[in-house]
Formats: sequence, C-alpha cells, structure tokens
Amino acid sequence: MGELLAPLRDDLESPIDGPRMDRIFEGLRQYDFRRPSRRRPRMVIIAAAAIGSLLLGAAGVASWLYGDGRAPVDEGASPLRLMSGEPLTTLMAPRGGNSTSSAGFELEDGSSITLSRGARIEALENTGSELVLGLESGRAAFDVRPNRRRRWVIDAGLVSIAVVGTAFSVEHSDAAVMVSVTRGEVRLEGEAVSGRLVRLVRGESMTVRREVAEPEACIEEAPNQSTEETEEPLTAESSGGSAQGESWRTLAAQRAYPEAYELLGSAGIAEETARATQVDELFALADVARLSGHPRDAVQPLERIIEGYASHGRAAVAAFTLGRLHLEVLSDPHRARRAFERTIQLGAPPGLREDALARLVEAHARAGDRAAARASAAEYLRRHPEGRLAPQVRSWAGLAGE
Amino acid sequence: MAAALYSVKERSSTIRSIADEDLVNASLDEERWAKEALFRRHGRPLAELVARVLGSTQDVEDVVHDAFIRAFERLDTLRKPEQFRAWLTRIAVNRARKLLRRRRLEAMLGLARGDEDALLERQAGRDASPEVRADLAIVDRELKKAPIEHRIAWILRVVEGRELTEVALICGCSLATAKRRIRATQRRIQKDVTVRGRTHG
Repeated sequence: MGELLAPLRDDLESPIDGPRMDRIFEGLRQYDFRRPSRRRPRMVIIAAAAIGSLLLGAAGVASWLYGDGRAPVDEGASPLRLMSGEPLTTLMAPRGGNSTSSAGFELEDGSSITLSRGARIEALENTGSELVLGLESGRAAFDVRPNRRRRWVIDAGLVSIAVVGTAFSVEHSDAAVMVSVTRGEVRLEGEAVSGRLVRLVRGESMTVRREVAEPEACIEEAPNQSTEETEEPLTAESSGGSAQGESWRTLAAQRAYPEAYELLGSAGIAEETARATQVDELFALADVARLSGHPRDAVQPLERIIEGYASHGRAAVAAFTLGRLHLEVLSDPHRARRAFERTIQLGAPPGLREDALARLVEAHARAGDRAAARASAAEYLRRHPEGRLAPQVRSWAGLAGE
Repeated sequence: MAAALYSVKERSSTIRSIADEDLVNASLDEERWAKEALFRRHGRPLAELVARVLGSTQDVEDVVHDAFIRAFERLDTLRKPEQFRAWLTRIAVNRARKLLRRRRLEAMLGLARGDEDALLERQAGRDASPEVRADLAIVDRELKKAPIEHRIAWILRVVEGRELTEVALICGCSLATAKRRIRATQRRIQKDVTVRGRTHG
C-alpha cells in the first residue's frame, strides 16, 4: 500500500506562480491599500476596553481558545510529555478491579489526568500550542495547570471541552457525555449542545445526551457506496497462507527481501502470485523478487495486477514498473513498450503518463522501430513541450537537431 | 510614522517579527505598509490553499483578491486580531466553497470545463517517484468524490497541516464535526493509501 506523509504540502510544489501573485498584489495595491480601513471610534474603544477589563476573568478563557497573538508560540515549543519523560500518546485505565479503581497520570507541566476503570484517552494533537485529547469512553478527571501558550481541548464525541487552568471531569458513556467543573471554567462545544456553545464554571455540570445527535451518528455510519471491486483484508486467515506464507509477508513488511526470497524461491513466488487475492500482496511479491536480485520473478505478479486488477488505482504503476523492468534490467524493449503503452491505456495520472510516454520513445528506439519512436516523440512534445524529459525524448527519437 | 524611521532592509526583517495582531492594529490606523505586510505574509499560502480546494488555479486570483478586500474592509469587525489568518482563510474558503458547488453542478450537467491544473498529483515534485504520483492521484480521486465540506476539512488538516481548532474555525463548525469530516475522508483514502503524520527529530 502506498504511503504519504502529512502535511502533504511539505512535499508539493506550489501551484501558484510568481506572476499570478504579482497580479493579485497589484490589484490590491490599486484598489485597497490606498483606502483607509474603517476605524473604531475612540470612544467606543475606550468603552469596550472598560467593559472588557471587567469581564476579563470570563473573556480570558474564551480568548485562549484561539491563541494569543501578543505572545507567539515559541518556535521550539515541544509536545507535552508525561512526568516520566515518555511521550503522551494513549492512556488507559485497567478494566479489572472494582468500580472505584482508577489510574493517575502526571504530566511534565504539573497537570494530571485520572482515568476511572476502563477509560481510555488518546492524544489526537500534541504540539507546543495545543493538546487535543480524545476520550473514547469512561470517566476522566483533569487538573490542568494554567499555561497561556498551550490550549487543552478534550473531545468526547458529542462535545468538545476547551480549558485553561481548570479542574473538571468528563464521563463519556454510550448514552451521554457528562461534564463537571470543580475549578475555573470550561467551554463546551458541539452540535448536540444547547445553543452549540456553553460555558460552565466551578460547581456546574452538564449532561449532553446522544439522542439529539443521532442523525450525525447515521452520517458517520453511512455505507460506503464505492463501486470499486472490494478486496479481502490482508490477514493470515483470509489469505489461506501457511506459516511460510505468513513469514514471507512479515519479512517483506520489514523490507528483508533477500530473506523473504530465500523462503519462497522462484516457485514460491509463482504459487503465491496465483493464490494472491489483493493488489498489495502482488506488489509485495514483485518487490521481494526485484529487490532481492531476481527481477525475472517480478514479471508474473506485476502482470497479474495489470490483467486482473486493471481498474485498481495502482494498476498503472504496476504497468510502469514492469516497463522499466523490461527496459532497464531485462533488456527486452519489445515487452517494455507494450508495458508503457498499457500504462497509458490504464489511465495513468498526468505525471506518470508523461514519464511513460517518454520511456515509450526510448523503448521504441531501442527496439529499432525508428518510425514509432518519432511518432511517440511527437506526441510527447505536443503534450509536454517544456517537459522535463524533452531533451532525452528528442535524442532517443533522433530529433536532437530539430 | 514608525515605519519611516527604518531603512527598507531593516523594515523587512522588522516586519517579519511583528505579530499579526499588531499588523492588524496598524492597518486599522491606516498604515498602508501593514496591509501590504499582511498580504505578503498570507497571500501566497492562501492562494495555494484555494487552488488545492478548487483543484484548479482558475478563479484563484479573484477569490484571493476579493478575500483580502473583504477582510480589509471589515477589519474593524475582527474582535480577535490574532485570529487574522483563520478569519481571512474562512472568508476565502466560503467563496471557494460556492465556486466548488457550482462546478460540481456544472459537471453533473455535462458543462465541466476540465481545468484541473491544481490537482495534488500535478504538484508532485520533479523528483517524485511514480508511486507517489499514483498515490496522490488516488487522493485526488477520493477528494473529488467526497462531500465538499469533508474535502475542505481534510485539505486544511492533512494537506495544509492546520491545527484542528483552526480547521473548525475556518469551516465554521464544532471541533467534533471537523474531526468527523476529516476522519470520514481519511477512511476513504486509507483503503488504498496510508497517510501518516511526519515525525520531527
């Protein structure tokens, strides 16, 4: 299965070029930068400031939800850890014991979390400026040390609770979520919350019941209406594999390809290819063969993907990989060009299509079919006049001087 | 004016260290340089986000230009100046959402113009492997099928890396709803592609 790293933008090129930004800037400069913004009249500002100072105790909590622009978060602010220094990921209280059993966790900033029997908390977000904890079920009590730079948010399904320097408890059951405040104040948000936003102070509690939120639960449970072919999950039971079958998969998952190939051998790769029921498994077999130095054994699993799973999103990748295998390793340009043509037929995404078209030119040229090479090169240059492989394409097709 | 006391170079590095809140307040004091600074800081990231939400660079100039104009015209209504980025983004996303709805309707009626030059797959770096390109193409495909609100929330969170609370602010929904939308889209995508968080040092 493919893997991408979030945030994806770190690996993407900008879709916006300089001239476009310049045009926007010029437009704004001519229209708006000259115009004064409306300014609040001074009297209103003074009045607002006076009122604001009186409400500071209450407004302060709300303002913390959205950060403090006067004190930007430190570049070096780090995620919150447990007092022991371990990362804060998942906290669980044991399910055994009596009903009063609990588990306490101290955090490095002096805050603490106490989970009652069976409760479980997961850190959904943990940065220098925000800690978001998901309480999936059970009861948890929080004693949060005030910290102007870090917001705490507890997500309990029906409601989310935003806090700063507060002591409160949350109980999340199948039927409802109950929040009680023992110090400070919290803010509850959620579509099931009356008015969508409620503030609770010391001594107050609130119960939000699930029946109000039932339509949301339906949306979440809506059946998948995809028409794509379904595949069985990759488990030892469903694959029908033996202990050896499980072992090669384990080795492949660990990228121990030579060891995996040693276990399977050429015959084993062929057997597993015939038996495989999903694309990921076939890719893994191809990787075991290719990356252990047995490229010829990778052909069959790749061909099986192309022929048996043509509508799968990665079938074009399989065809492209096969094409490169034939062209660069097995020195078979005839089979290579068929694979690259198939890559294009399978609806490869634009970037892959450009590569495949370029490689097709090379494969035609190496197969001695000069006419086909020139025709494909013309197609490439028509579609991608400034393409990254344009110089090589011209060279392969003998168009270098043109 | 304080800005006039600095040389251009000094002013540039000084401006970079000025928080949004102070630039907003200076803009309200009719300091033109402050508005320009807000644009230079937020203009490109906003344009990139809008392009990714729309899947196209068409209309990006109009959306971003109009968002800034609207923001500057209503700057005095922004009660929390430190929230300028989220507020501006919300204005732009609201406009982009309407455009996206219209385009989907046009597509259903067979009137689609097909100018999808800002699909994620097209933004893959030059050295990106074919596997990564194919994975991004799968993501593009699933985002096209996702409800618009789910698409927007997922792009804000997983592509742009915005914090959950900011996503909720921009989308105008609760944190729980934002999370649900992101998770629903994530489940569709993760059938074929794993997306995991980057580990830093």
